[in-house]
Amino acid sequence: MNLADRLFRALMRVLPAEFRHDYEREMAATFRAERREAEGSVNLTRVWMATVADVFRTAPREHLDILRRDLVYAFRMLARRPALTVTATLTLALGIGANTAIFSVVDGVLLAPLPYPDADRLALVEEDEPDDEPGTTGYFSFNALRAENTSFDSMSAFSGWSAILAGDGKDAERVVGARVTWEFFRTLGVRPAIGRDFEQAEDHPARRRVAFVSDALWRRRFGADANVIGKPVTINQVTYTLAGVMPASLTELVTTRRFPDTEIWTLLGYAEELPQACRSCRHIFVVGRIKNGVSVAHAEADLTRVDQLLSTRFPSDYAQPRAVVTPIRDYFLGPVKSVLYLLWGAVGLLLLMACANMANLQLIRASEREEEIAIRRALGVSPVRMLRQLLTEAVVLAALGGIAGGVLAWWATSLLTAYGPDAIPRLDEVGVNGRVLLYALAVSIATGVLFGMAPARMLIGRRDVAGVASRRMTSGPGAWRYRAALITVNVALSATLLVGSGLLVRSFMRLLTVEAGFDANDVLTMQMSLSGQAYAEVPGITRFYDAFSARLRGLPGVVGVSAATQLPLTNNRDRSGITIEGRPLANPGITGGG
Amino acid sequence: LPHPPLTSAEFQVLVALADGEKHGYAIGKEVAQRTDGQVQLRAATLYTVIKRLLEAGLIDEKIGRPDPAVDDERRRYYRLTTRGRKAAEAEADRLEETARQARTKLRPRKA
Repeated sequence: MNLADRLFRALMRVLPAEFRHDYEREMAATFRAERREAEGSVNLTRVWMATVADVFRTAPREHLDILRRDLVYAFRMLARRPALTVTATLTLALGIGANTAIFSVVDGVLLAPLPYPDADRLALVEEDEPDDEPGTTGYFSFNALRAENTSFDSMSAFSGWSAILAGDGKDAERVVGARVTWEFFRTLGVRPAIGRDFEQAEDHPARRRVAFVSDALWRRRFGADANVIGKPVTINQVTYTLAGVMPASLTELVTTRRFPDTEIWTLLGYAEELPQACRSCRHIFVVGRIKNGVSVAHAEADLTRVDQLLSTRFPSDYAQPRAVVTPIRDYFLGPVKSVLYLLWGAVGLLLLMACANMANLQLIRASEREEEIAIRRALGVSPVRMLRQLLTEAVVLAALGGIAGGVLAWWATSLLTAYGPDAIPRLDEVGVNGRVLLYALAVSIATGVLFGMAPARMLIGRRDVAGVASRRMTSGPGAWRYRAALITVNVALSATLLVGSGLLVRSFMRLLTVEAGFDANDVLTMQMSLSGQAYAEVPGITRFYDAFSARLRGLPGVVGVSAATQLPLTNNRDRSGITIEGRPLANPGITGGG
Repeated sequence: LPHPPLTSAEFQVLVALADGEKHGYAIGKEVAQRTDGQVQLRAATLYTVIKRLLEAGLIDEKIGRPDPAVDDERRRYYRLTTRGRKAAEAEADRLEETARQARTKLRPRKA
């Protein structure tokens, strides 16, 4: 065979195997004759080009033709055994459905881009002191970090806020909010959909009463009325100016992650003279946009340098602080990443089990089809052609399972988003989208190939036609070995899953019985927050809680009453500084409620 | 039942076989000569058409004598079946009718 023949043979591989099997020799001979006839290199080139183009034009149609016939045949085979088909479909639906549902969470939570431009340059800045965990920072430190760093384009601080909307004739409504420094939205790279951004001059104790609302709050409370923008609204009994509405598409991750369901933003409006801005009052979060090309490690070193300067200047307020810079993706998604991947792995095992089960079912079904297949082979149907036919059947079955699994996943995903743990960020954005469907499709096809391949190979692997009735592959020693292997795999996978989930339940049970160090029996808790001018200063707050506790104590059945800023074991520490009753404040400055 | 319209390549192959059995290469050559090189059936198209015509029963095949023009010891020869001849005739009629209608429509009208 010369080079041209070999090239032509390689080209032919584009065509279906069955077609090649029937016509390859003839086509090669025809092409050889054509080449011989085309004298001169120009003509020869033309023959080659026309032939190559012809093969590529013809191949797709031939493949589709075979696929169409295989599909018709596959559906006929499946319809002949409805019970088996339904069982198989349900088994696969469970495996594919569970996988798709978990993937939709992985996709929405981990893979989907964060809602900010250049989100990988955004990072949380925390303060880390020896013998402590990294956490919130103080306004005093933030000011120093913001002014003296060389590695951030911009930096903003934020803290929680509780806003009560009332006084507009509607029912009072408490809304979770955040107080942010003026460059907050600029740092994140988001702009209001309606209205203007905060201005620097407004970030001041006396001028700070400007608010932004989420699209949802604007629709719910203000009837989506564009006229309310720039108008006064009453929040916590104080008049604020409603400056704008954030885009509906924005789930503001940074504040919402810290203060779930944040719907309103106002200015922090701190000054260094304020009591809550004292050097040891560390209760604000800091987010920054790192300069292009600057590494996280470099930014961290830069901020630590500033922190160390503070510590030298105010040794009694700082104990060797160190800055910790964490990209927001790691900060918000890091904790759930391993859990989600673990879960994905677990449903992956589940799918493998479904595959092993399916391979077994297929094998049982194959034993009924041995003769049909042996006869078709004897009639000259090529092994590759048979393999293709059997794989098509498996993939059709997997596709049926995939469709049922898709429905299951859609249902499971809506359940997950509705009742999923709050600890998973962005869960409300999870949904069955195009990417998830593509994943389900890919998983279905891979599943079909996986469980269809082995039985198909076994069935067509035999060569002698005489053995139609005498040697049954699917019940011979080879088949038993194969089925034993399948059962082994199945048992191993189930054991892994069972032990894993058993350990999980056991850990949880033991966690429930851990000694907390206090008796939680018969203890009820409630959370409340005070707002408005009456509670703007400490004496008013103290008076309220004294009176409230006294009245609670008077209720029948109440043994004791206590109030605290944090409940035990809620993993949240109060870093707002200490005020000693009857002693002057370190930062007496101006105070303001709201 | 009348045979559904044939593709141009199918029709050419049937016509090429009208005067007797031929192997694949000879069919291609006949079509090219008859159409003055206008229709060139390359290997892949030629044999997919042959396959389809065989399946439809419009042609059948037999193993024939070797042809020195094609250095292959065994050649498959194709010949028109009765059904194939009828289908080709019907197609020719259909084309003729199409051409007639087109000409009537295209003929310039006298004022």
